[in-house]
Amino acid sequence: MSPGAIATVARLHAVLAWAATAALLAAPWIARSGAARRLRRGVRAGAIALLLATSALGLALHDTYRAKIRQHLFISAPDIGWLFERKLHLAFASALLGVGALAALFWLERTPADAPERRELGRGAALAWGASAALALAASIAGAIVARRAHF
Amino acid sequence: MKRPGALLAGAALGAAVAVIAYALERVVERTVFLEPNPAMLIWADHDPFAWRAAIAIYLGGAAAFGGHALAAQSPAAAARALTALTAVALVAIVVQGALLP
Repeated sequence: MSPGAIATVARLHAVLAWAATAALLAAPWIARSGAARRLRRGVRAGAIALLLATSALGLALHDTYRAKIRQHLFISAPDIGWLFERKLHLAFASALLGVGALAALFWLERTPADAPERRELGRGAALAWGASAALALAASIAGAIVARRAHF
Repeated sequence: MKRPGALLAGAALGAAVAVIAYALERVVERTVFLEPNPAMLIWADHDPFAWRAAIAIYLGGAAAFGGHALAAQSPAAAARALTALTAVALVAIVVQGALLP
């Protein structure tokens, strides 16, 4: 990729990350507001699609980060370098827990209303969704802090 | 349990296990294998993050089969396992990220 293309992908990655974070945080409120089932499913699936698109772009930028930024970051500001490492862990966990939460919510939809596991399943799905949203928010904030110091 | 529900249960449980596996891999990497100082390292063919993620997803995929089997046999136990594994995954990644980034 040319330097201009890398910078564009990096900007898109940042925009998608915040959009995914906002969608993850907003989805439970939309679900609770009594929205139609189709809309609820769409918002949830859209949030996870944004999250996965962000992850794909992050992966596409990863080699360039390692080749051009990582060493300079650790020389000039080791704390920021380690913050970026933390951001990688949080983003990975957020994406996986988000996928798991979506699967759990679809599993819940397929569970009969009188099934004994419904309550526990709802709790597990909510926990996974909340964890994914919180980790995405932390990763987005960490990414913004790092971007102030170093960029593509 | 109907097959689609068990498949979704497997995916949900596998995702949580993958996060736990990732955190454990990083802990082992930081405590057992000495990494080169990132400030001194210009380039390495081996990308630890990509390998860590790939291995964690592989292990999560393997756990998905177990989750599927559990959900098919006892949906209530699978639902309890989802809550427990998700809580463990969250704690594991936060503790690992804080102490051994």
